[in-house]
Amino acid sequence: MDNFSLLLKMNEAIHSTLDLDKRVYIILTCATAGCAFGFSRAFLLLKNEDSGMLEAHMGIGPVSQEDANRIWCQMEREKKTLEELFAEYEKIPGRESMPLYPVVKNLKISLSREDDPVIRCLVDKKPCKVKVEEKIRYKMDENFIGVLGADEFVCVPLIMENEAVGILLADNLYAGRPITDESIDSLAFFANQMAVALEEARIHKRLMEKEERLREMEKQLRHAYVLASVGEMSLYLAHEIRNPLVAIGGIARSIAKLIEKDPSAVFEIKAKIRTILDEVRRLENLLSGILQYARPKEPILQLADIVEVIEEVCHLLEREIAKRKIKLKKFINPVPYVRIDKDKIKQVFFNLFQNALDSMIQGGELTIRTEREKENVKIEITDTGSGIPASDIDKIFTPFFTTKPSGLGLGLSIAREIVHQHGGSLKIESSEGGGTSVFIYLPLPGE
Amino acid sequence: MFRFLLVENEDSLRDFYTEELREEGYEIVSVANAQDALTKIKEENFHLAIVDIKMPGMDGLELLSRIVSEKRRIPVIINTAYPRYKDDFMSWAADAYVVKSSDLSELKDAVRKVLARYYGENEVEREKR
Repeated sequence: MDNFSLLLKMNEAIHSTLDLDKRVYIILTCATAGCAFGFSRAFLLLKNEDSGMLEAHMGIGPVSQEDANRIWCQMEREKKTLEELFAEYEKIPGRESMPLYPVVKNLKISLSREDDPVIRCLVDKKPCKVKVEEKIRYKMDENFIGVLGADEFVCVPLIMENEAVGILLADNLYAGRPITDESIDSLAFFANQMAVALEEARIHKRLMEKEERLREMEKQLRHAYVLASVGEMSLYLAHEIRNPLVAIGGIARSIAKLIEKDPSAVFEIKAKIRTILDEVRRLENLLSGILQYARPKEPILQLADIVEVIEEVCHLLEREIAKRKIKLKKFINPVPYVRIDKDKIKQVFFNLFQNALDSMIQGGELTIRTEREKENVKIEITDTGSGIPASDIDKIFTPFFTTKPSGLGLGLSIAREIVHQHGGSLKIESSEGGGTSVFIYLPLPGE
Repeated sequence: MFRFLLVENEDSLRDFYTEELREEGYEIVSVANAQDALTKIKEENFHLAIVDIKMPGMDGLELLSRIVSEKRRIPVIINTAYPRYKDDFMSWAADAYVVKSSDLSELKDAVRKVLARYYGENEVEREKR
């Protein structure tokens, strides 16, 4: 295949993806494929400014002479096209599982070794052929050539905006034929074309990582917002507590002074004590208010039809359900009346339905089922939404835990709290991508 | 005798401050909100105003800005339960910022300093006599 049509094919393949590793794979495949450059092995090494090293990122080729013979026989038989070879990338679970990874992992050289021909290639931005027999003359890195294990190899720089960002290294370890100057020239030409594509993918990858970080920061910000409102709350409390405390302490001091001056001023002392008692009462009221807020009032239980409550909530969310292209399936079996606080139970269903709807961004099915199960009324709410990852399932009842872009993370913990107040229980079954089922059990009224 | 205007919406605190400051030899006129304070300032003469921040209606910071823009500017001491307004740039206009405490020595110190700064040490001594 001539260089031009090879370049066209590779360009096409490379621009079909922004995945850095896939792009590297395509480039290395071209370097090793018999129908292209036909080197035995090819490695891509990238400059890592943080560690001060030139580090191998990926390598392609056989791991031994037997492996090489086997692969070449297979190639001869199957006569795969370049496109078919590129597509094999999809079968690889990751860079770390590639056969040459043990070599790749250890193939690195310090950027400060400017005498070494590998680093020279990077600094001079010129391709070079390296012969290991000249290692003493060129003060080569023993470790690097040891890991590589080839007597002869070629390095071509990857140049991006006048700076070498890495090198493409290839050898003929198993083919046993010398590296020709011609093959070096065409590999260098080819590498020049590839540098831009690689850099683009690298930038893309970095962008993705930044975006991930941004999302993480957004989450932290939301948490900070919750804390800030807690801060507002404590500021309010500080004021409400400090004022009576100042009065109590101050008046107590003045009583002490008064007694010293005139122990018979009983009337005045009594008045001051009354003020202290008033302030203490105020503090007590404040305290019970806070507790009220932290632990809402006990529910007022009355015998009622739970189906009625469910229907009411369905009606409330009717438009939302239709708007989101969600199919509502009701399997409502008549159930005995249970002792419930209607308003609070309405809140439970509202929270749970809202969660279900939020998990089905692409639409789906919401199933509601009621039935009697032993001494309980059982209500099931099942969605076909995104489900909960196993790593999150322990946290879902934690107040302020949320996966939603907006929301305080209180819905589920409040729902469970209310069900508990009714002497019932709430269970969740979910798997990532497999939807979520919530089961509520409310006890039948005793005799 | 120095005349102060005390602006405090809490009854018990108002009585407590009034009593304590009278014992120090000052004359105290007290009101429960900022609106009444403005009326008083227009009608009568004061040497100093002691102002709470958090009050129903107009708050102490706004009252402060009104007092500052009066023709006859009187010094103002902010006396509040909130330490955080100390950094509010409005409270920089105040002559002192005191966080409420049952121990009034900080407030009394602030009063003495502000009076000395405005009316001179000698005047303060003479008024006391």
